[in-house]
Amino acid sequence: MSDQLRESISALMDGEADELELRRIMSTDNDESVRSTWARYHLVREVMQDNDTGAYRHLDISSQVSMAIGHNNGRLSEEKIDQLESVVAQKVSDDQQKTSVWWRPMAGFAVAASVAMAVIVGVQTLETNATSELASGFPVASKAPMTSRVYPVAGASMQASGGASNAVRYQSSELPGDIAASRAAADLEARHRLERYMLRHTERAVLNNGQGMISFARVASFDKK
Amino acid sequence: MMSALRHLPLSTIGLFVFACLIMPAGGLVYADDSPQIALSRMSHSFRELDYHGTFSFQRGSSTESFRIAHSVIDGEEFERLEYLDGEKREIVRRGHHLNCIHPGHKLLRFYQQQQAQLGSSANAGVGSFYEFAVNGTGRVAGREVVNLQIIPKDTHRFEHHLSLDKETGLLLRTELIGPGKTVLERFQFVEITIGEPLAGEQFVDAGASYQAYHTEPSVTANVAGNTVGDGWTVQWMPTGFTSTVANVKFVTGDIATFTDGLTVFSVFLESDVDLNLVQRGLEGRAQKGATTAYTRLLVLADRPHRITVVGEIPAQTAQQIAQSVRLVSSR
Repeated sequence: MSDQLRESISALMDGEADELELRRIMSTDNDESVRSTWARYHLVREVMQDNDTGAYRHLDISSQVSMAIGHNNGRLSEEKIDQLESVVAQKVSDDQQKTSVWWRPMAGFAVAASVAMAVIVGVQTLETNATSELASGFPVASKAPMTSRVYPVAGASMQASGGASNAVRYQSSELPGDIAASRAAADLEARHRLERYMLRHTERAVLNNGQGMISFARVASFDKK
Repeated sequence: MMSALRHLPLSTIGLFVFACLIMPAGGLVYADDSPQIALSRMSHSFRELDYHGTFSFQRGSSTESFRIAHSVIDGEEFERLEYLDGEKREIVRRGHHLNCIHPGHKLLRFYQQQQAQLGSSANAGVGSFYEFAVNGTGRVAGREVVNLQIIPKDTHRFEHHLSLDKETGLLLRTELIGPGKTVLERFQFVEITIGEPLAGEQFVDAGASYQAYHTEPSVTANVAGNTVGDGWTVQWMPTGFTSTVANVKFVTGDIATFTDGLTVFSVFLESDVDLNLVQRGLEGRAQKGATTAYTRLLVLADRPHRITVVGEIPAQTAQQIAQSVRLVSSR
């Protein structure tokens, strides 16, 4: 990917892309690398700032949106929106079914509440753009900052529940093995930390929830002392 | 007339209660069989009675069995909880004085709710955040029970279904109900003996015991060096939650726990997070039965901090709480 293209993506991310830059990004042959760069930049920004928008980073609704647009002359029917929402709802509910797993990395979680809304926002924005393009006869580049948040991000399909693994996958392909190993260590560390926290929380809960010792049943394991 | 009270909406009862209280002779506030009285009895009985028995604990597809023993010896609680499945282990607590009343107990107790109704208490009782309903009677572990339905007024708590022993008020069965009426977890006594004290020797460390740590319910005024210095606070939490440690302005340790009388959550803060170890994620979430753990990194005072919220609360609520943690300095 050219530096120029990278700069354009960066500008788009900051909502500062002009029409030319937008066209450059849209017309690139290397669709997949644009997506992954976009995702990586967001990841970097999220690490550098404390930024909640990361919740959308892994969320790719591009294929659904293009499919919907393709099938419906640029207009989305109520029915289609309902359908998209139900797909999301299903993914989210699948996610919630897996609640027996104690400690899993999460990114789909934050999305659960907001994903349906993101779909609607994205769809409406694209629709607005399409309409004004038709009306004025040329693309409206100034709309770029608005559309940017629903631009293609990663993967081939909408990933509400599998978001975490998806986001991690980018990194893994680029990072050396020792970092992968340190991640495994971090996972183990996280699990142990959580067990300690769970015990300390429960020690205080049994004194304050009106139910007493039985609440200790929630703590699966602890160090004897 | 009093027995008909429980079928009325809570607000109506509140009005009636208020009317009673402003009348000079208005002594009785709740009917003897009202949910409020039942909860108040529950908060006393599990601490003050002698009992031992076995119960099962279910969450998801797993069920585990436990043996519990509780005795009051010279005004102090002696407790033991044995895990009957898997690796042999138990939790023992000895010498918890009955006069040691924690903020969570107060919220359930009758006089506190009375105060709350009068609006004169900062520590409003559970009645402000849950709707109560008596849902008939039944039988658990061979004993007559009264079923209580406790429905939260907001989405930050779970619904509780309690079955309380008719005679003693002891909690014999409890379910936590999540969204969509899913049962997240269930405790249920299989058999229980009430009123037969066990000797102190029964609570001696058997070698595989964990001694449960006891947190003082409040800091005394002269130890409250906690009014100046550095610490942290939780800026947002659902209404009705108070710190389980009274009289602290902000947290100086790494843990703070909050209760509304029935629901409890804890917030943990770690500074000096190793950034190499956190590559894996800025956020993490775990769920087991009704217990949620949510963890995330926040940059506070230009340094990464790890905030973890653990509690029997919905995940969305845990996330909101975690994001509101801020450092404070009052030097």
